[in-house]
Amino acid sequence: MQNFKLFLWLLFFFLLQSVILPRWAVLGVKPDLFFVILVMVAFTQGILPGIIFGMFAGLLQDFLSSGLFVHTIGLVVWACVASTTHQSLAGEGVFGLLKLVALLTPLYNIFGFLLLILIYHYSFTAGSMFFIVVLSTIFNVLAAGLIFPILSPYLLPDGFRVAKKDVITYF
Amino acid sequence: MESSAFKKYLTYVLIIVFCIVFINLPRIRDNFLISGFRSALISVVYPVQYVAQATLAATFGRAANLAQLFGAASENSKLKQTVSELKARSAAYDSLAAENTELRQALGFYSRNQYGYRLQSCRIVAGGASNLFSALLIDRGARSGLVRDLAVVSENGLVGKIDEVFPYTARVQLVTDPGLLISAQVGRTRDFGVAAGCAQNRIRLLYVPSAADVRVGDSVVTSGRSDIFPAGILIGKVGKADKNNYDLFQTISINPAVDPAKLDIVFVVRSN
Repeated sequence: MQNFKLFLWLLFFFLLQSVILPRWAVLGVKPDLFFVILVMVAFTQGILPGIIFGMFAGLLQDFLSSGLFVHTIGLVVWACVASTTHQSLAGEGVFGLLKLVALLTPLYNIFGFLLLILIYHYSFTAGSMFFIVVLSTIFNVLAAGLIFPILSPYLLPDGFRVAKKDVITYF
Repeated sequence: MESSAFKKYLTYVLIIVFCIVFINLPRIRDNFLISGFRSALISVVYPVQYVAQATLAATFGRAANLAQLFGAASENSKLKQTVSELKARSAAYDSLAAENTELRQALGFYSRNQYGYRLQSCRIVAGGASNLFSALLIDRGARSGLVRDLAVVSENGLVGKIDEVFPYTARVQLVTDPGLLISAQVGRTRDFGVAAGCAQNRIRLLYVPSAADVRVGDSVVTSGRSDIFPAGILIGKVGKADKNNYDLFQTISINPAVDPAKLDIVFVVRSN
């Protein structure tokens, strides 16, 4: 039942991201809920659930937005980074998570820009890249603050300690 | 080597292999297995998005009506209730009238058919889910005869081109997408250039010579020197034009004619 509820919440956030948020985008920039949830999953569940979620969410996001696999690659790589570095980078609790989202969103976007520019020869301007990085970081932190209370009962059934222990045990 | 360290390095190696594989996958995007997987995934997701979009449209279309009805419930007078109900109906009529106007505009555009091409109307099902790309999903696909690289327009101007076709839906790459380059022409001066999206709902006009007399407000249209876009479709208006005496080309910024966030109906340009 818990898993089913989690699935319904993820479906809701997917529809929010693909149907509703594009209409409310500020100058074409909107929160990246896939990335925010990925950081939560990697933060609380560890590297493997993070990679699996990242792969599935990335494929979905890529098929909806381009024929390239920039999001699939980005989400899998950043699931790995988020789960292995959150202790040293961000710390514990909700504020740790928000700090992690604030730190990783610019890096995730820059990683995407670099892939597109270097491999696929896309033409971004420095101004638009800076604007997207700043705005999406603000949006993602706000979104993480709103989403975490909703998803935490499903992601953290036994609290933070158990989840962190799992991550430490894995490495 | 300890097993945990081995596991860690194995994970990193697998992720590097994964990245190499996925970077190269777009080169074989027409492969039967890959396109089949794409189509299957989109076909599963599309009905859910379609229902959500329809529900959203219906909810916002009648929001004023509902607000009025809730207001009426709080009033404890029959007369006020009647007035509120009438207001609610009026709001509903306003909503219907606005929708009617929008549809008439679309129909008028369809009837005028200024480009002389066969147009196919489509509704937008979902927007792009990413900040790196500018894309839309429409409610027609391969079953309606759509193929890749068809131009998509609205009554205001150029929307983009069909980037990928699935059985019941198709993805449109917008003019603001950084991966789309369009042969363009400044309407007044007839100077040629290349319109390149740069995300954030902006377009640049590249390779216009410094000697060209381009001014703010000039219309930029498709040049017709392309197999995809017919000539004369409005791309946008020049928002900024900077020229430097020492540069070969000007720096021109275009305000797009179409705001993708406000689009509901678009037209695919079919063959003559």
